[in-house]
Amino acid sequence: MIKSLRTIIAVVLFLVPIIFISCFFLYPVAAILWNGLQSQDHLNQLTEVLRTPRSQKAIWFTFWQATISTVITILVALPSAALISKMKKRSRKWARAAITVPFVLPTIVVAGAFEAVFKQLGIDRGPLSLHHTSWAIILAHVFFNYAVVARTVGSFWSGLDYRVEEQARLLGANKWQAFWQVTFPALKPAIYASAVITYLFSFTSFGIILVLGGPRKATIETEIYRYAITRSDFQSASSLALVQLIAVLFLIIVSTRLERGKPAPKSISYRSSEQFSLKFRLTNWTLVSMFLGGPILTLFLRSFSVGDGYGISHYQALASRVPQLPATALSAILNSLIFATVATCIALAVGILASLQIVHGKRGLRSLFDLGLTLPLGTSAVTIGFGILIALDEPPLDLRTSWWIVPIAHALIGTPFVIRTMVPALRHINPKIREVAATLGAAPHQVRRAIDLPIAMRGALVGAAFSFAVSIGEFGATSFLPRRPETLTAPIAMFRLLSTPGDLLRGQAMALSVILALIVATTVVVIESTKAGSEGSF
Amino acid sequence: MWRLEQLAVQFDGKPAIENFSAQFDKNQITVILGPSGSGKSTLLRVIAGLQKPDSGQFFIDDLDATELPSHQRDIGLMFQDHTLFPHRNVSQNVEFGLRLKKIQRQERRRIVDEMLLLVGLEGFNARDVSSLSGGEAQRVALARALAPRPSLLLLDEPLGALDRPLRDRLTHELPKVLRTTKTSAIHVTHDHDEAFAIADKLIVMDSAKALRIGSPMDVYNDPRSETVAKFLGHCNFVKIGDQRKVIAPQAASVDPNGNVPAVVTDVRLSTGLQETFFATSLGPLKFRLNESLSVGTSTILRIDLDQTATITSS
Amino acid sequence: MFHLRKVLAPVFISLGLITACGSDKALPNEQGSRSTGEVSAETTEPRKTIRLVTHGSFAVSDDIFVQFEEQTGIRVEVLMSGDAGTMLAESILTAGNPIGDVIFGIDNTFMQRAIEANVLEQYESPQLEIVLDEFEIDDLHYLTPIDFGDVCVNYWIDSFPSNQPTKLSDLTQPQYANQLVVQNPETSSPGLAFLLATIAGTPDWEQYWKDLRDNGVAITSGWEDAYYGEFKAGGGDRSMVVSYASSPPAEVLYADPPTDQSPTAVLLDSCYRQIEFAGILAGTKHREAAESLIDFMLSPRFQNDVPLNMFVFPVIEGAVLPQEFIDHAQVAESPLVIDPAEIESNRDTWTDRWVEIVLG
Repeated sequence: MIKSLRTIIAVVLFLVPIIFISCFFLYPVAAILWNGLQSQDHLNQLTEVLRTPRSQKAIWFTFWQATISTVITILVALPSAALISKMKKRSRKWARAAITVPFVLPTIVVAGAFEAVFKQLGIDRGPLSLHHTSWAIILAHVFFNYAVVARTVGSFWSGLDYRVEEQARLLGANKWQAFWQVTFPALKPAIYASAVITYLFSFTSFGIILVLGGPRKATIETEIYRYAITRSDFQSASSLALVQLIAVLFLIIVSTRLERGKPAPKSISYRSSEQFSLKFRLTNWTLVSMFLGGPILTLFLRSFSVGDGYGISHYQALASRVPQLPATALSAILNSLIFATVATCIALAVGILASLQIVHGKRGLRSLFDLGLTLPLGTSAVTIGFGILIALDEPPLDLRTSWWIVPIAHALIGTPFVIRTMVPALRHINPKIREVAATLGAAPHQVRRAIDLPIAMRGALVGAAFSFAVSIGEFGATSFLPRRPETLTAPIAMFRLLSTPGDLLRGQAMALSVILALIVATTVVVIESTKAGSEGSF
Repeated sequence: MWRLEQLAVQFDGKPAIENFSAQFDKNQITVILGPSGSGKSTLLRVIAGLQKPDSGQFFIDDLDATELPSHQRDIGLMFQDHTLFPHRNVSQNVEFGLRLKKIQRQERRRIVDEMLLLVGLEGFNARDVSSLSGGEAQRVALARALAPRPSLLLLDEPLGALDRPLRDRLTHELPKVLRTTKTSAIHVTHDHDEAFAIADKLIVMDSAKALRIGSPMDVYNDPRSETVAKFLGHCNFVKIGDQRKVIAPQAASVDPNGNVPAVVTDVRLSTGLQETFFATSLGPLKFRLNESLSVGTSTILRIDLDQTATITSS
Repeated sequence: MFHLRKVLAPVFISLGLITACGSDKALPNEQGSRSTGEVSAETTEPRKTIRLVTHGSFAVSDDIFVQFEEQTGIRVEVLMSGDAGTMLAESILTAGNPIGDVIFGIDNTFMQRAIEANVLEQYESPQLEIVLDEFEIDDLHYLTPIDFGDVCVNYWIDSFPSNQPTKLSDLTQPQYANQLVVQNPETSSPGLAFLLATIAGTPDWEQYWKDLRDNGVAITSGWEDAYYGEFKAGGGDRSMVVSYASSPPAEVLYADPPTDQSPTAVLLDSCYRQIEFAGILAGTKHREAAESLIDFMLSPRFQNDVPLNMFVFPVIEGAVLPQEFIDHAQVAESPLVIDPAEIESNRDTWTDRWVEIVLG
């Protein structure tokens, strides 16, 4: 009796991620692609749009900028990851929170802030101009994804056995050699995991490409938008969406292969007492705060600039409704918080269950879980939004106008974050620990619950923090779904405020973005402070 | 009583255990002695249910338990190092198995304290496991393994990672603890001193096979094969007639009426005992004598033939 | 110590979610009733609810649909989508099983596409009698005009103390070099309107754009980056931008510090007229209620509400404009327009050509 109940629970837990991804992603995406592709009876028609020089240029540029963005993000974020890994608990919490802030800011606001910074530095024109260049795009992608790399790698790093690197030093390697030959290879799982997220993020980036790249820069994502929205040419849009899907699939397969290289398992972290030199720490944090802080400072100052001086009236104004918004900006913040909380819970539940399957499940299923649940991150918001619109349109699945569809869409994007941070943590657990637990009488499900979950919770919570931030700042899929005025979210409110002239409205939009940033920073600190957050080797 | 029959395990086509049969009795400490890579850890993993055998069976009290999952075998396991649960403190580690047995909180506390006392770590309850020294960590691991009172405890080189004095002390304490708690145990090691100090029964393993099973004394005095003899520390291999024999290091004494003339070639001190090396007509031999001889001395040794055993050369 | 609750809570949430797959009715309706300020007492006397599908810029006064409901017993639920293009794409994709009953926000640059895609039902509102003739451009009555606005070049008044631009052709003159910023017609609705304005208002639009290009026109992807990034109003250094005729009154209304004089003005010769329409979505189950809503949108109550909420102008005779609009908004007397059917058959060719000339 108990045993059969247990089996049922196990089957249900196994099915949750599968149902989630099939119901809300695979089926809708298949439906929208089928809808666009069925009218093309020829492979020729399918590839017609792909054979235009414009599409080929866009496809090439998509890969190019995503690759460069990822490589640069990793290189510039590694020093911070190193520093974070050796920080004391309390300061680590704050550093993590601070660098996560950019992640939440709506692209439209950040793009504007970047343009302003370029202007300040005088690099908006002239030979060094970054205005409407690929480098502006890359810079913004680094800005957004900095936290993903620094935090994922930093957490993982702090769990590494520092003695291995010390050993290398004793054998005569200098600091750099020891790092590149010993520590760096050991960090690979975390680096690959965060690289995948950064890559997919840059791959499907939209607002940044349009605003910072200017009208001459196009990617697969912006081309899908152009065909689907401006031209209602769903055939061409589907062809491009298919290319995007295949490319992302390929990328994820390659990355999971690379990611599987396991580090030497161990359980207790030996944290080196050796600190990095003051010079290194100062240089790094100064550069980081200039790079991440510059655009944020611009927003901050604008939000307080009232008339010819400074004041808090933009913040006060958020409590009353302006005609451009169907509700007050304050209620939009509340909506965003509710959506983000629900979305994070869904992402956490699905992500944890999937991670356990990925690490412990049957070999064939593992990669399927990983693949399926990471795909949404690399799929166009148009594809997801419109897919849900045409697929989930009949009872019992008429979710098109349901309240739930927003948190579900957010959770689709949040889940890969949970998986990508939790799986390396799970793989990092010494398998002997699980074996000891089993010999002490723990059945497999009890081992998952008593060993895997608490130890990898740290990783899952890093993912949850990102999921929350993504949800708070999300402006993609949900803008392609019909929504009720009263479910106005903060990023949409911000966008609306910025689409009518007038400094008052712009000031409010900036105030709104500053509040969002503070909310996310606070949430990260709170998540970091939870019991599970301080437990374990991470 | 636990019994292995015709056990075989292969990894990538290479045998880790071959045709292994053995019996482990209640209230006995069986030591499996063998060089690293001989398959002893794999054997433990099979007994613990962590490794499925390719063929053969495992019986618990004559019931076939080959397919029984680990957590239902009532068999505990302790590894060499780094297996404490990092997210739990000392008490929480020790009481892990007790919780799974649904033992009441009061009783759990009592047992935890008792176990910590037993391993000499009273008062360590709330300590973070990352703050423990290697020896302390191993004692906690032992307490954790003992707490649920497994019917059989498997120890996989539990002292291997410790420094010598600590190891010697625990080598002495471990069998006492096991006997106090009336725990049956299988102890795996590559150290013959440790093996002899602990074992009620000895199994010598090499190259995936059990070479010799018996009481420590029997095995030592009658290793039967040169491999086993060498592994137990024997080095006096001689040929007498058609037979290969091994002579125990304490089998000789200086006696003018002895049977073997010898010249001292070297004298070494090992673990407090003096070992004297001789060149003899039988070949080079090494003995532990009561008297000290200086290098170069010619003498006559009496070798007690009762303390020699016939072996098969391998 | 087994953090059972911590683990199971999210699991249950997601399980609940999957059951929610099956029945999504509970929450949305609750949400829906809140939108119109209803209390649950209404459930005893079920009222008809219709859904108005519109774009993200849709805005009305809080109580306007409450009044409609009091008059007719019909509750209006608003569903907003990204922008007008997104909304149209959505209604084409859901043709036959629409998410709502009435659609509002299709403009004359895209109306032909909506009509050809068979997403609309014909309806000739009796209220059309009071609509000014110039806005009744759909003879087949698929779409009913609701409001209009002009997309025009705006300029920063202080930049031109003496030589203010007055004609579309002025923009190619050397004295206005490097002053204009326009949006990409492929990604921006005002950008497309301005392209259409040049096609309607210049003898050779391709040559005109070559001249603009040579005169240093700047291009952005969207309105925000043009207005706030490049134009003087947002701290940029360009003095002319493609925006709306209603932008100057907005600059006064939302000025900081307050002012009664807009810093910007409109180049009336450059104005392209955008008319926004409403229509009944094919497949509606509430045809009569949908008709009432369209009639209501042409009532003086709704029409007078439009300017200060959406910054557009009413289309009926005798509508009352707010003071800010009378003082600061200008309406082009002879705005530029192109026949919707002509736009539909040439839009892609025109924008492709534009890309070649301006971005190529």
